[in-house]
Amino acid sequence: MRLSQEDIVLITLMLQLKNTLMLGLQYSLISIGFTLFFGMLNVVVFCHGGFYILATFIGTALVSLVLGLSGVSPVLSGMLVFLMLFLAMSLTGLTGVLVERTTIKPFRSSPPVMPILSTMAVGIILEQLLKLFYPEGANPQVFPQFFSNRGLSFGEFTISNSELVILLVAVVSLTLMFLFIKKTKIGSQVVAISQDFEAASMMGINVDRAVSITFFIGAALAAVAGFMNGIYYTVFRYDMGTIAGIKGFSGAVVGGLGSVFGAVIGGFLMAFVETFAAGYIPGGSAIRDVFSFLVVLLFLIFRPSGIIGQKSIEKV
Amino acid sequence: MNKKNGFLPALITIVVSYVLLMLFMGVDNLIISGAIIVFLVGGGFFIYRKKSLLDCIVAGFRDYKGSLLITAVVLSVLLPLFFLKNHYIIHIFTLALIYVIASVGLNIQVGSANMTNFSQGAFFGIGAYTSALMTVKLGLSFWIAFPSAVLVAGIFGFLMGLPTLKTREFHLSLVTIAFAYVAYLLILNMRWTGGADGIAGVPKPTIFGLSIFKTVRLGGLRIPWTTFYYYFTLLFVGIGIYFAWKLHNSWIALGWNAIREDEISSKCYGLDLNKIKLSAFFIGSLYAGAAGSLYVHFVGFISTESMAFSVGLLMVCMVILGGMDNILGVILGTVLLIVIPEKFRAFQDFRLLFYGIILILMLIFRPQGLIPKKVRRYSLSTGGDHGK
Amino acid sequence: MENNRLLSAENIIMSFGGLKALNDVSISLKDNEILGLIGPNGSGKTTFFNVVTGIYAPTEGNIFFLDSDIAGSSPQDVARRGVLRTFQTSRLWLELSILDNLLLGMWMREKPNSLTAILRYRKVKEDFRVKAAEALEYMAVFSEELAGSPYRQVKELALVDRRRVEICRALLARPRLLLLDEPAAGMDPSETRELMRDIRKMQEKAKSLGVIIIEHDMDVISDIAERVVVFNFGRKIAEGTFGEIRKNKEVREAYLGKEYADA
Repeated sequence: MRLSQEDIVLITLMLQLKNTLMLGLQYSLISIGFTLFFGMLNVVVFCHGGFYILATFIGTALVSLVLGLSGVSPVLSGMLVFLMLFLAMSLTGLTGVLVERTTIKPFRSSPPVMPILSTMAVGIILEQLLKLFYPEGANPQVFPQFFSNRGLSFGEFTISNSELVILLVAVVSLTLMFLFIKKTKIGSQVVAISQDFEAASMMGINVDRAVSITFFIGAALAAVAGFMNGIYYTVFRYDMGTIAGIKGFSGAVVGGLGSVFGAVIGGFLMAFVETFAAGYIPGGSAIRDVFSFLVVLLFLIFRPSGIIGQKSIEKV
Repeated sequence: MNKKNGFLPALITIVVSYVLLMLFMGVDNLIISGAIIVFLVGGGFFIYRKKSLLDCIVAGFRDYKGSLLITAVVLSVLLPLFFLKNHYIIHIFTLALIYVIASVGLNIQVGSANMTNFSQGAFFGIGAYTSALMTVKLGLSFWIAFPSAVLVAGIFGFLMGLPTLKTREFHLSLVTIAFAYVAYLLILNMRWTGGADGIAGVPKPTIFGLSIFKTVRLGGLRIPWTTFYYYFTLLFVGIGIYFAWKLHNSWIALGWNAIREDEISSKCYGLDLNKIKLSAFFIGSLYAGAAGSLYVHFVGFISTESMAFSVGLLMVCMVILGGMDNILGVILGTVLLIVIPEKFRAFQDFRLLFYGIILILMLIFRPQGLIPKKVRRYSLSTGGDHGK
Repeated sequence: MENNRLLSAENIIMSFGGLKALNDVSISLKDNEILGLIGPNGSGKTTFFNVVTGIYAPTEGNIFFLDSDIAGSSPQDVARRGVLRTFQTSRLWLELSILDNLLLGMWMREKPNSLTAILRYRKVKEDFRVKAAEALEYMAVFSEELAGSPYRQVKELALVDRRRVEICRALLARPRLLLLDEPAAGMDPSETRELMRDIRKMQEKAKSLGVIIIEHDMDVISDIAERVVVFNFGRKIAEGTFGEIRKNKEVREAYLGKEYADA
């Protein structure tokens, strides 16, 4: 079958939109972490990209373990894979809690440059630990494929099963996170702390616990993004966390630091710029990040409070 | 305060640290090197705990600046003579000197004005590329390329400063990160910068048409060319530090400190924040450009590897380790971070891990750095100097 | 405009969202006058200072200072015209020394430039020497002890001493209008009296200097201010000499009533 010019244009567009969706979900999941941490503690956790890539590594290790088992029925194996991904999420979440306790909490009353630098250092350490101590860590890794690549097809345009699954997982985690914040008691405490840290602690809210829970959730969401990365691109490397983290931070800033909804919008905007610059600008593929950073710079210059964010009135 | 006792302890501190550092670099035994490190750290800690001794040394440094400076210059000049047989070590010290220039410039932003700039590596690269392109592609002399590199880096610093005027803290850091990536990616993907291959064959500087950077034999003595480049760089370091020190003791540095401490207060006292911030970015980038140019004419090659984001991060580490807003501290921090890992080349892979751990330990246990910033002193006519 | 009128704020409204922190406030000040501004917490006194010094742009209204409208100007611009202030929770440059802070107060009298630092370093040094002498002379009026330890970091000082440094820093900028936000907070009565006396002294020395002092305590203000303005809920409820204010019924209810309740 020969494709007409119009078909090609349409399929390309669909493909770009799919890429935007996949990448946008990843960035949103990372951005939400940034925004939650910032809302709560007024810190930017620069090692957040480290959580993301850490999760990809842990997920790979655990899932490979399951897939290596022989004599397990496909159904059981599938369930085990999910269990392992869940385990990887939890481990990443716990890492988040640990990092907050050891390298953010000591700087709660220091100038803001301190936690910037300390979390940046943690980011380097996480990355280097993966590189040095994971088997063959310096080389690109392959994410195990646990679904056949068949999937839904719309003419020439396909979405594979694994893509569908990961989409589902991402959407479910996002929904759960929203529900958690809106509906649970701890969620409302998190909101209260974001609005006024001191007042919340005076009202007897266990701030430390709420902070830990927030870091657990934030890092776990980054873990989901990490799996998406692994499943969608199959190949990943230890140093992918830094740039993903910076993109996620950019998304959070563009959307408006402190707003969860803004983080989602910002994440998608970053993905959109990147994907379409790569797809439609000649020679844009290699320098797509230049376009995303230019968008960030424009926002920082003309609307530093972001899309959703409100102008804050400085207390004097 | 016993003024008389200050000089000797300060002098001994300098000389002992120097000798230990020379031994550390000179011996070819990892155990001895390790032992020297332990001794240095232990000695430093001992002095730190013994308050009276520490005060004495600090006072010595304050009251005998001139003679101690001469000592330091003499020691730096003697340095390569210990390593004539091992020209690699001179190479490392030259690199350290080059990075000193960049980090002294970065200190203006990070230390004096509290603007955490992660893009000093990018400006270093911009300076290096400018110099390389002008000498390799246009065939111009170092003496035209160097000032151009300094100026081009400065102009880019100024331009990057513009969007930071409205931003602070995290947003400002994001601007600098974005800039570092944009500069890196553009240079990597442009044809006339050599792309991923970089630019090779950058010539060494000549002085009045003479190529002095050549290995020389004096009788039985072989003096590697790096020795001469070391002195060449030392000269630039001297000039750079001299300017930085003058700036540090002038109105403009007071302005930098004021915006570091409290922006609102600064506004209400009529300080022009834009001008002050831009001057910090401009001047700091001039230093980065100078360092980049000296680097590329030393190594003879430049690629985007040398201006990656991690380079900027490393420079921030140097400032933090040494001591923010303290020029002497920044020099110390830079030399330590360049020289010590070189010795443990067997553990080359662990280098970044080491930087990360050092940074975090410093932030937690000694956020003010090895040599904390000092209160400015003025020559007072009233003699009201009862302060400590 | 009348002659010798220094400041004239007319019908100022400052609203944050729906809340009117200042509601149709007018205040004027003659040259060389000391005006007291009193009122309960949250009555808009500090907001008034923030509006005058350009930290907030007023929602409505004009502020004439020396006959030009400064409403909505930037804080730098207002400062350069000669309006200086202190802050309720003193805002000094904490890591810097007393002397550094005082010198920075004189920033506007200088035209600092990075090139002079490099090219004419000797001149810069000499300039600092002269300025430092002047700064410490001012400081000595408020506290000999502080003037005697110019290199102490401000963060080491007690809050009361920080206020003294802050007032001194403002005076060194040679202001035409000085806004003092609760300068005596935290001081005991004798310290307060001393401070008020020193402020008066400096004001007379400066020859043409208007001062507005925010105070919580009416007695403090009675010593120093010729005229008093009373705020409540963002409105000016009374104005006059201390004696007149004291008799004002609304003031007694809004203000003194609360004071008695507190006591």
